[in-house]
Amino acid sequence: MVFNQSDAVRLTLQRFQRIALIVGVAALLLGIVGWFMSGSQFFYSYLFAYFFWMLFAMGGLLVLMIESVTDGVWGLMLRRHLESAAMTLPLMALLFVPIIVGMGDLYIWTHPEEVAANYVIARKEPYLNTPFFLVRAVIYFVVWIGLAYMLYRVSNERDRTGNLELRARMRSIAGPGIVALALTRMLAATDWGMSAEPEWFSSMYPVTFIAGMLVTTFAFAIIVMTILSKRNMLPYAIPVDRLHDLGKFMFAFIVVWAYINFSQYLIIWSGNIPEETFWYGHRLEHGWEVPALMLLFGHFFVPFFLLLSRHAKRNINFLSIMAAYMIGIELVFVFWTIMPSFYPDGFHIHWLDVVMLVALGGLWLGVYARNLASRSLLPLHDGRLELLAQQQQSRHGHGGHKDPAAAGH
Amino acid sequence: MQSQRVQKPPVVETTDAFLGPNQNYESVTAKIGNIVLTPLRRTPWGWPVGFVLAGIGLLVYLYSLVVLFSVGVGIWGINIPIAWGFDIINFVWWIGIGHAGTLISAILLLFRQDWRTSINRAAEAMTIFAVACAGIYPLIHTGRPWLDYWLLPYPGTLGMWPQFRSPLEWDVFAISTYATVSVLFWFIGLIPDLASLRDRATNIWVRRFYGLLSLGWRGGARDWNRYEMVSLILAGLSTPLVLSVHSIISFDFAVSQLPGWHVTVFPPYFVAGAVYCGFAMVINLLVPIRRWFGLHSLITMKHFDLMGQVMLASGLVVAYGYVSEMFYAWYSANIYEYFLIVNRTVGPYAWSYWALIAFNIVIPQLLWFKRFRTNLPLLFFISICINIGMWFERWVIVVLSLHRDFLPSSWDTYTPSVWDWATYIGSFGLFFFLFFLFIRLLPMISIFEVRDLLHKTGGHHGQDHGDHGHGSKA
Repeated sequence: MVFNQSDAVRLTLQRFQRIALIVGVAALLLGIVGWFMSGSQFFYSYLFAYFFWMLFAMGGLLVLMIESVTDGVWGLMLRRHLESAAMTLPLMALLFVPIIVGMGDLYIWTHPEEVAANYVIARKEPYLNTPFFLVRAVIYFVVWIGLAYMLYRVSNERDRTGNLELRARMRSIAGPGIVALALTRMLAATDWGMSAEPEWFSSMYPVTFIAGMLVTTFAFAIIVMTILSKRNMLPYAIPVDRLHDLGKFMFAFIVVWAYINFSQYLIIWSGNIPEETFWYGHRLEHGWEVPALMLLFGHFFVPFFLLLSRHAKRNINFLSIMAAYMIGIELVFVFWTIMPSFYPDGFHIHWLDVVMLVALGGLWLGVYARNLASRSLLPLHDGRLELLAQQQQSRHGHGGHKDPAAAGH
Repeated sequence: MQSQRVQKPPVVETTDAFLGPNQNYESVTAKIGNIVLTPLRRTPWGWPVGFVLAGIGLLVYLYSLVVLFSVGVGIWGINIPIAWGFDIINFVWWIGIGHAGTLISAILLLFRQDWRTSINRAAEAMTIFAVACAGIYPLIHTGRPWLDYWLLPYPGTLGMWPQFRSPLEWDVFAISTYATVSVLFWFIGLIPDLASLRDRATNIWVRRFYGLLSLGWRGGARDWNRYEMVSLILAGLSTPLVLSVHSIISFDFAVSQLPGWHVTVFPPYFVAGAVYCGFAMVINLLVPIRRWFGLHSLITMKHFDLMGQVMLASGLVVAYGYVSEMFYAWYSANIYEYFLIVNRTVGPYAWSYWALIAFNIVIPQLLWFKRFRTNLPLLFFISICINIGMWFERWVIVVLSLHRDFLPSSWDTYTPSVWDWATYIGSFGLFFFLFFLFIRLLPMISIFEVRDLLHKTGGHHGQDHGDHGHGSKA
């Protein structure tokens, strides 16, 4: 069975791509106006938006590699989506340039007089210095883009040749790739986010972003798969069981996110060492406690109880609304993590925050849609795809199943 | 029929399925059930030898506890500043081992992974016995077990309450809940099999024994329906429990201010470490048992392959923990954190840090390759290395962080005494004593779940690639 991209599907995706890019570029131009008006605020907003959209790109790469290793059916239908997300990393590398331009505004350790005046920052100079920072950034992007590109190429080759043995090659790239991604991402989170408050350190900090990118990636996947399926852009509707799987993953990572963040908070609160507590101090006072409480309830308790039931995860409409909601609350998380570094004295939101979010989002989604439109929406020549299609049909005759939603959608 | 199982069947290694060839419902039931129903004198030689050795170990344990209770903790090697020694190291080590059982039985059930069926029963038993071994340590570590009720919050006339802010107090609740739910889960899973044994037993007393334990199970549709519901609920309860237990144990260390303990990444890396050494222990137990009892067609090479993969994955999370711990100790620019790196890598106990890296990180990298994961002697060896490595991890965390703290005048060294070792080795005696009793008295592989698997795979193998979801029980 060959699933060729129909022209209608391609046109729809290309229209989306065009709109996204136009919106992105327009917002970017507006942002550049904002740069002249408010200087460093532009970079603060930019860094926040960059961290947020990076969750989608890096999450795509991470889940793509997990999929390549585990080889589950859940990942088969996500493969194109994940590859398209991962292949936005060259764009993200390009979009890193403004952060280099704004380093002086973003990172106080770039100022020699600040370094000289602060014993702790001075001791960190072997790591926190501009040349090494740039070299590291280059290494990160080489590793990430390299991994994304290698997997993309093998996937294309498999589509072309139909050689299923290539799965083994994907696995051999993705296994070490996950290790490389974990380590580089740890350093990247430290460089780009943690070092905005250079005295502070916490080994859990990079993991909070990994949990966040897993939530985001599955939430985004649920939305994309629902839209593609509802608009009949796929050769057949996605079985409810498979969306249920995605819902379970999202649910699991919501819990993981809460676990990771709560653990970090508890350990720092209990240890009560002034070198560490100030970071939470900046984030729990003067108005910043509002997003913090929003996260506590909105990123954990509310979605936890709403998604706990099996029926909630099998109701496609509800699940995709929750997925969109999770992406929204993830935005609050990134904002609350990044922004108080620059506004420790009180809650602050600026119109540029929104503009930069839209600008990077438009560009990102545009490139993502272009990647998605360039190939078939499902991998070719995989026998398990037919299994997926058959499973869909045979569901009706399956007596053991309790849920009526399984059969009718 | 019973004489059949005494002779060793020809070994056929299956690498691509969870059941060997030519299995049917009767052969599976007979194979597993007869291990228990065989008269003692026909049991394979490994069992009596192991049982007696474990019994000797248990006596060592009891003796060292008697000495501890009559003399006090002065018989141990602990001192100030190393006030926590073998008691906490071995407590954490044992409880970590328990976690694999819950992961296999609960989390893999929720994820509908069929490969758990042949190994979950033994792994759950291992969990319970390991938790027992672990749970004894906090009870004896003061040498005054008659005061253990102080751990519990009770409204006494003195108005004394435990410190609820302390994770050590949370341990009391976490571990007792975990032990309770694990025992319940294990026992409820046993009921259908106990009924099978009841029906197969020829001796009236044996039949009564299993009849009593099977709680009147009749195998009706309603019985099964309720059974499935209860298993799912208990699996759902066990999953957060297994994560919370080891996270709280990591809080025991992490909420302090001591460099090497106060590490925010501890909770997930402790959980991963627990799964890591737990799976290693499952392999260490199953490899010999499979050989003694000829279970090659029920526990196949594919099981070992998958367990090897789980170990590799959890081991890499542990490795990430080590890297990030060291990196942030350096990045912190804090002189005490920085000294931790120096003390671990070139200090007086540097040998133990490097042993940890070798056993826990370097050697297990062999698991990347399938040919090593399916080479049982090698896999057994790697698993032993992981168990040693994980023991060293706790040693490094406890001893190396404590022995040189902030004030050089209070530095000291720690040498475990002969009683420390006797208690530790003795706890193995307890563990294996219980485990040998288990494999002789209860079906160590779930009979009905293997039959269910046989039903799903249609009695022949090699067709279950990819999708483990269909034909779900949920």
